[in-house]
Amino acid sequence: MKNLLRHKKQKSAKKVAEIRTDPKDYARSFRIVFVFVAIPFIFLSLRFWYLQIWKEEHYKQLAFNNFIKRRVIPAERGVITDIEGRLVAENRPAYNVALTPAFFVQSGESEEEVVERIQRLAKILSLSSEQIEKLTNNVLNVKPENKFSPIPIKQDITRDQVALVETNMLDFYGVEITATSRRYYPFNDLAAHLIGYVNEVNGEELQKLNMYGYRLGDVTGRMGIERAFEPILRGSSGLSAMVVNARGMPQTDPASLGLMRNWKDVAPIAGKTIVLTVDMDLQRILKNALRNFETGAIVAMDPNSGRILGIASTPTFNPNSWSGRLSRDEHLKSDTNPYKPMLDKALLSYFPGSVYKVITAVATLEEGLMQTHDTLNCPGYYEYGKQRRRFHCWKHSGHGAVNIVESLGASCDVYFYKVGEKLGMDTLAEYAYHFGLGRRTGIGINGESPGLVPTRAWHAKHSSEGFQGGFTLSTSIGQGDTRTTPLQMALLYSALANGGTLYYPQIVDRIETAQGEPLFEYPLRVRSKLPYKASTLKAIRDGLDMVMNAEIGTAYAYRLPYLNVAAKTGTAQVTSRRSSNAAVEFKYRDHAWFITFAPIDNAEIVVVVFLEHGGSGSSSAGPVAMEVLDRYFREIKKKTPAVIEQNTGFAAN
Amino acid sequence: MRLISTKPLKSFATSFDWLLLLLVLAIAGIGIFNLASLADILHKPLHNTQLLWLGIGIIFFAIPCATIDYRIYERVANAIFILGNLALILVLIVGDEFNGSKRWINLGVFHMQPSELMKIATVIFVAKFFSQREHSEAYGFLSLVPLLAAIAVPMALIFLEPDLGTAVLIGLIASMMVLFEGVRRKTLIFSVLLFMALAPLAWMGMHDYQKNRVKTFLQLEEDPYGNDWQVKNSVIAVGAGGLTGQGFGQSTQVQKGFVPEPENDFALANWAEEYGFVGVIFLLSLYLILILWAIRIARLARDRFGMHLAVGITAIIFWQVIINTAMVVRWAPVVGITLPMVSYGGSSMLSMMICVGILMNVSIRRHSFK
Repeated sequence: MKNLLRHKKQKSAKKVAEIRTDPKDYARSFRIVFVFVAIPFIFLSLRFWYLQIWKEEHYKQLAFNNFIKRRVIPAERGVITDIEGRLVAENRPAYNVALTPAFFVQSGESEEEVVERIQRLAKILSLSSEQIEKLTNNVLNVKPENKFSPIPIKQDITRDQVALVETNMLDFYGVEITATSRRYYPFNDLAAHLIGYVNEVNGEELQKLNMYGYRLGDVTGRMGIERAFEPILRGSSGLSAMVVNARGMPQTDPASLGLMRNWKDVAPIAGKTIVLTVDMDLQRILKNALRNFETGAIVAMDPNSGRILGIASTPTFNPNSWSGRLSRDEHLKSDTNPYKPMLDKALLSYFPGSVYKVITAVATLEEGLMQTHDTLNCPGYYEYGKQRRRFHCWKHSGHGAVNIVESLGASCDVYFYKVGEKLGMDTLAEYAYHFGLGRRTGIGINGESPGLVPTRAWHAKHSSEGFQGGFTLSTSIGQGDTRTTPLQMALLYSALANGGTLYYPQIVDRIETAQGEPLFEYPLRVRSKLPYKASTLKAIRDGLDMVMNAEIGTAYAYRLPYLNVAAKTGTAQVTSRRSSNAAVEFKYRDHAWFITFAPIDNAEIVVVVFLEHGGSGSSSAGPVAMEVLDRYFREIKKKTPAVIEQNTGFAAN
Repeated sequence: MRLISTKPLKSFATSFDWLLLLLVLAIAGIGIFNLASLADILHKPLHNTQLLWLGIGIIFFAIPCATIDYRIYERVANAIFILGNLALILVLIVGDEFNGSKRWINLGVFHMQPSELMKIATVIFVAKFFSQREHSEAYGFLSLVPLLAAIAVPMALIFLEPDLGTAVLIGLIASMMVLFEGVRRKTLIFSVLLFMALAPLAWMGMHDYQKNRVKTFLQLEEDPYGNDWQVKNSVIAVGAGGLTGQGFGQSTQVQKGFVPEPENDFALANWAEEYGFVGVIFLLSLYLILILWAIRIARLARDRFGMHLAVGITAIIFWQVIINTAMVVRWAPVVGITLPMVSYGGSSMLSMMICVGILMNVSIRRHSFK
C-alpha cells in the first residue's frame, strides 16, 4: 500500500515536471475544449428541433392567436311590445368611458400631474373616491403588456358627461367613449313583473353559461318575459377578427390581411320580437285601480281564449333601475320593503275564501246531491259532529232557507258546510282538479305557484292531528289549507263564463323577427272541456249574477248602472280570530278577493282582483274590480254606456 | 525581439486565413440580411448602419489589429487592462444612462461601451499572465490569487453599471482561459465552493429587475415586469418558424412587435422565425465551425501567448453565442448578451472586429519564426 502510494506520487511528480512552453504541450487541454464547445451546440440544436419541428403546430397556433384579435359583435336584444305594438322593452344607446394608459400618461409627465388629470376626469364622471383610487392605481401601476388595453371607467354616462369629456378631450388623451346599447323600459314600473328586467351575468353564472356563448358583461333576463324568453330575445352574437400588432393596433396592409387566411366574419343575428297579449293602456288602468292598496294583484283575461289582457302586481318596481348595475340603496329599498315588490303576486297562491265556493257548488249539482231549487236552512251557524262544534256563517243572523243560486249570491257559508260535509274532502278536491287548481297553469314565467288542493291523504301527511272531518267544511268555503293563485282563478272563472272550456293562459301573442316578419303565432290552447251539465253551469252563473244584481248579493252595492256583470266576492280569513280588520296587525288581516266577468251573457273579460290582507272582498276589492271593468269598457273598448245597453239589452235601473 | 515584423510574410496568399474571413463575412452577412427584414418594423434601415459598422470595423479595427504583431499586445497588456478599468470608472461617473443602466460613454460621433472592449482587454491580460510564467505544475489557488483579484476589478465595475450579463461573461471567459491552462483539482473544487459562497453576496448586490429576471427564468414567481412575456414570445417566434420558416419579412411574432429588441438581443428569434430550423442550424453551424477553427488557430499558434490569446477570443465568441441562443429559447435569463456579428450595435460589432483581427493576427503568424 505504501509502495503503491509512493509510486503514484512519483508518477504524478514526473508528469508535472515537464515545463510547457509550446502550444503543442497543451494537447490535452485542446482535446477537452473541442468536446466542451461542441456539447452546448448539440443541446441547443435539440432544443430548436423540439421547438421548431416537434412543437411547430403548437407555436404556430400561439403566434396566430397573438396577431389575430377576435372581437365579438353583440347581437341586438329582441324588443318586447304589447298587443298594440307599443314597445315595452327596447334598446337605447348608452355611452361607456374607458381609458388607455399608454395614451393617457404623457411622456415626461410627473405622477402628480397624471393624478390631477384623473381627478378632473373623475369629477366630470362623478366617480366615487373608491373608484378614483382604483383607477389611479390601475393607470400608474399598469403592466407593460397591458399598457395598450383600455381600462373601463364607467358605464352608461349621461349625455352631458359625454359632452364634457369630449370638449375636454385635449386634456384626456387616451380616454375613449364607446357607444353601446342598453335595455330600456319606456313604461317604467308598468307591468314590471310581467316584462321583467335584465342585468349582467355574474362570474358564477358565467361558468355555466359560457357554453351558450355568454361572455363577461353580457346581460341575461332576470324576471318575467325577459327571463322566460331569454334564448329567443338574446339573438346570437357575431364574430369578427382583425390582425393586430403587439400594441393591439389593427393592421390593414395587404400582407397583414393575408395572414387572416380563410377567416370569415360571422354576422350577428338580432333577437326576436316578443308581442305580448297585454295592452299597456289596460295595465295603466290596473295599476291605477290598485293605488290605495299596499299589496295585491289583478289579472284581466279574455275568457274565450285564456289570453291575458292585463296582469299587475303591487307594489311594483322600476325595471330600468334593476337593469344594469343596481345601486345599493335601491337594492336595500326593495329588500326591506315588507310588501316584497319583487314578487309577482298574480302567480303566488293564497287562501281563496268564498270565491272557491263555485267548486263546491259545481260538485253539489254534478254529484246530484241537490237540485237547483232545493233549499237548506241557514240559522247563522252549523253544528258539526258529535261535539256539535259550531261553524259560523259570515252572517251571524243567518240566511234562512236558501237554494244553491241564492247561497252563491249571498255567499252563505252554512249551505256549503252542509253540502261539503256530504260531498267529502276528496270529491271536492276532484272538482278542484277539474278546474286546474293545485297545478301550475303553465304560463311559464316567474316561478308560478301550483297552489294547493288539500285531500284526506294530504292532511294525513301534513296536519299534525291527521285528517279531521272539520277540514272538509273549511275547504268547502275555500278556507282551511286551500290555496289558489289569482291567475288560476282567472282561468277557472273564464271556464264558468264561457260555458265550460278551461284554457291554458296565454301571455305571448306571437314572435316576430327583428324586421317584423311573423315567425310564430301562439295558438289558442284548450286545457280541458269541463263535462258538466248545462244546467249546472247555468245555476252557477245565476248565482254569480245574483251576487251583483240581487239585493241579497254581496256586491249589490257596487253594480255598474249600465252593464250586466257577474261576480263573486271572497274574504279569506288568514287566522282564526274574531275581531275587526282595522284592529289587527296587517299580516293577520283578511285577504280580499273579487272576481267578475262581463257582460254576463257574452263575457269578453274576466277580472280577478286580489288584495293581500286587503280586508273585505266586497267593500275593498269590489270597487277596484268595478273601476277596472268600467274603464275597460269605456276607455279600451270605447263603448259608451248607450252602446253597451243596446248590445246587451240591459237597461239601467 | 523586433516589435513589428518587417520581414515579409511567407506569402500573403498562403498565410492569410481565408476560411476565417469567409466565416466572419458569412455570419456578418446573415446579420445584415436579418436586419434588412426588420427595416419596416424598426422604421429605419439598420442593416445599412450595420454594414457601415462592419466596413469601419474591418478597415479601422480588424486590419490594424491583424497587422500589428500580436506580441506588442503582450507588452502593453497591463496598460490596456488598466486603461480599460479607468474607462469603466469613467463610465460610472460621466456615462450616459439608458434604461437605468450606465454603460455608454458619449464620444460625439457614437456611444462607446467600454465593457465591450474590457472583454478583449481581459483576454490579453490573462494570456499575458499565463504566457510569462514558466509554471511546471498545474496552478494552485494561491498562485492564481493575483490574477483572480485583477479580473474581479472589471467584473465589479461592470456589475455596478449595472450590467450583470457582461460581468458574468468576463468571469466565464477568464475561467475558460484559466481552466485551459489547467488548475489543480483541489483548487477547482475550492473555487467552485468559493463561488457558491459568494453567490448570495452577488444576489444581494443585484438590482430588483435583475433579481426578477433570474426569478422569472427559474419560474420562482409570476412575471411582474413583463420579461417573461417577452421571452415567451421569443419562444413562440422560434417555434412558429417550423422547418423552413416564414420567409423574409414574414415573421408575424417579430414583425407585429411581439418580440422585444428584435434587432439586438433577440435577433436570432427573427432569424429562427423567418428561416426556421434549417436557417438556425445553418447559422449555428457557422458559429461552431468558426469556434472550432479559432481553437485550431490557437493550437497552431506560434507561441503560448498567441495560443492563450486565441483561446480567450474563442471563449468570447463561444460564450456570447451560447448565452444569447439559450436566452432566445428560454434556457437562460435575459441578461443582455448580444449574438456576435448578428445583433445590431456599433460597440459590439467593432469589438468583434478587433477579436477577428486578433484571431487573424495569430493565424497569419503561425508559420513565422519557426
